[in-house]
Amino acid sequence: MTEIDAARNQLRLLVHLSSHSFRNLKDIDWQPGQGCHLLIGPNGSGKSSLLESVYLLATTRSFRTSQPGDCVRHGEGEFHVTGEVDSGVRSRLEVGWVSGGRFRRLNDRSAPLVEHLRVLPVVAWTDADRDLLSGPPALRRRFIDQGIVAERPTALETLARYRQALAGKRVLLMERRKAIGPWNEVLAGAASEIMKLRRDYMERVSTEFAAAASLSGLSLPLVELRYRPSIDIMEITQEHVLATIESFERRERDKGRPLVGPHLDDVEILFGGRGIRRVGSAGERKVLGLLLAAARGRLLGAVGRDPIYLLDDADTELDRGRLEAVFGVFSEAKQVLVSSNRSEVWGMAEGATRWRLEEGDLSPA
Amino acid sequence: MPDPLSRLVGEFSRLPGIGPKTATRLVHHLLKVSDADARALAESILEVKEKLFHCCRCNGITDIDPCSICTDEQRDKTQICVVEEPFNIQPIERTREFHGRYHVLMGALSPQRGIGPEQLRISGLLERLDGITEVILATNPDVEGEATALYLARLLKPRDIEVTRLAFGMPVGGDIEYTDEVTLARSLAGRRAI
Repeated sequence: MTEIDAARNQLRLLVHLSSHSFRNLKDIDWQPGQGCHLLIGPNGSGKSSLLESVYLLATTRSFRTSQPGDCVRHGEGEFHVTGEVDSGVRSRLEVGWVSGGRFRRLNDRSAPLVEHLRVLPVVAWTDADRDLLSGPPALRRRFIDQGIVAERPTALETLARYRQALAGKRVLLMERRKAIGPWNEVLAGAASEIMKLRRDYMERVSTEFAAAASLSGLSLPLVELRYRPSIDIMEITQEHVLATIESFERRERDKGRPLVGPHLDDVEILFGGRGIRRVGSAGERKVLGLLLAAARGRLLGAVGRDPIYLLDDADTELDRGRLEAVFGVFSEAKQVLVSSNRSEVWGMAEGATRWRLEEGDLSPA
Repeated sequence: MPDPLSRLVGEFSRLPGIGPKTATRLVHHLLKVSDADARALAESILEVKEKLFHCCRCNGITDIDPCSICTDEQRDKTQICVVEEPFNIQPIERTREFHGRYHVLMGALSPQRGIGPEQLRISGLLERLDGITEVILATNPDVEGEATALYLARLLKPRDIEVTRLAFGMPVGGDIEYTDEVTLARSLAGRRAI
C-alpha cells in the first residue's frame, strides 16, 4: 500500500466539537466517537442547530442561511465553532462570526478555503433539501456542485470563474453594451470544465444510487437520473461550447440576459419512467433524497474520503418499514449524526449512541 | 471623535484596501509619531502628487515625459508588454528578462464597475503598434484580466502581430507540497512538453 493509499483509506472522524454562542445551543463540548449518533429532542431543542454547526465547520457554509451572522445566539455579538478531526493526524477547524465578519482557521492559521474543505468531508440531508427533487433546477445544480466540490475542492475555482464571468455578461446584456465576445470566451472555458465535471458526476452518482437502492431492499420503480445540460452537445469542448453560446448572442441581446450555459442546467429524475414531480409521494421523495445522500457519500468513500453524514429529521414522512430499510444503507458509514423527535421509531438502531437535546442542552440519553 | 481625527480617518478610508478600522489604527499611530515624521509623511504625499505623473506614451508613472523606458534606445522596439496598472511594471522590470516597452491600460474590463473598453487606454496602445511584432498580455490571471486579454487579442491578431499571454503555474523555487491546490491544478492543465 502506498503512502497515498494509506492516507486515502484513513478514517476521518470528528472527534471533538465545541460551540460558543451558536444559535439556541448551550455552549457545547462534545466528543462524538465513530458510528451512529441519534440526537433525540422535541422541536426547537437545538438538533438542527447542532447538525448545522458541524456542517458549517466542515464547509464554512450554513445549510439554513447565507448569512453566518444569523447563527449568532440572540443577544450575543459573535459565535465560534471548533472541531478536531482525526485522520491519523489531528486537524483543528474553527469557524465563526467575529466583529461582524466571517472567521475560519485551520490548525490555528488562516488557510485557503480549498485546504479547509479537504479536512472533513460531509454529506447532509436537511430540511433545505426537501425540495431537491420537485423544486426549481437551482437546487439540483447545487446538489451536483456540492458533490463535485466535496470530491474535488479545486472545482470551486472553476465554479467561481464561471459565476464571475456570467455576472459580467449579465451587466453587459442588461445595459445593452458591446464587447460581449471576451466574456463569452471566459464563460466557455469555465462552462466546458463544469459540464464535464457535472456529466461525469451524474453518471457516477446514478450508479451509486442504484447500488444504494438495491442495498435498501426496497422495491422501487426504476429511478433514472439524467444530467440535462443547457448546452446539449455530444463532445464537450471549449470550442463547441463557445460556438453554442455565440449562436444565442442575438436572442440574448433581445432578451437582455444570458440564455444558455451551465447556470441553466438541470437533472431530470424519472420515477418509473415518469417525472418524479408528478408521481412521487412525499414519502417516496424522502426515500429517494436519502438514497441520493447515500450515493453521494459512497462516491466520496470510493476516493477514500468517507464523509460524516448529517441527517436532519431523518424519519419524518417515512413509515417504520421504509425508515428501517433506508437507515440500513447508512449502517456501515463511519460516522452518522441523525436527528429526530420520535425516539420510539429508532428501535432498529441498536448500535447507535443516543443523545438527548433539551432547550439547547446536549446530554447522553 | 474630534473633527480633524474623523476627517483623517475618512481620508484614509477612501484608500484602496483600507477600512474604517485600519484607518482609525493608522491615525492613532500618527498621533504617536514625532512632528517631524508626520510632516515628512505629509510632504512625501504632496511631493508624489506634484512631481509624478503618467507617461504620455505608456501611462507608467514617471517624473520625466516620456518616461525613461519609452525613450531608452537600447530597449527592444518590437515588443510591448501590456499591464493593468503602473505598479505592475516594476515586478516585470525586476526580472530583467523583458527588454521591450510597456503599455499600461489603467485597469481591466469590469462591467460591474462600469469599466468598458472606452474607459481603458486601448486606443493609445493601438497607436503604438508600428514596428511591433509581439504584444505580451500581462493582465492579471483573474476573470477581469482574462476577459481584457481576450478582448485585446481579438483586436491585435488581425494586425498580424504575435499575441502572447503570461503562463500560469508553479512559483519557481516553491515546493509542490506547499503550493496551493488551485495553482497546482492550473499548472497541470497548462503543462508543457520538454
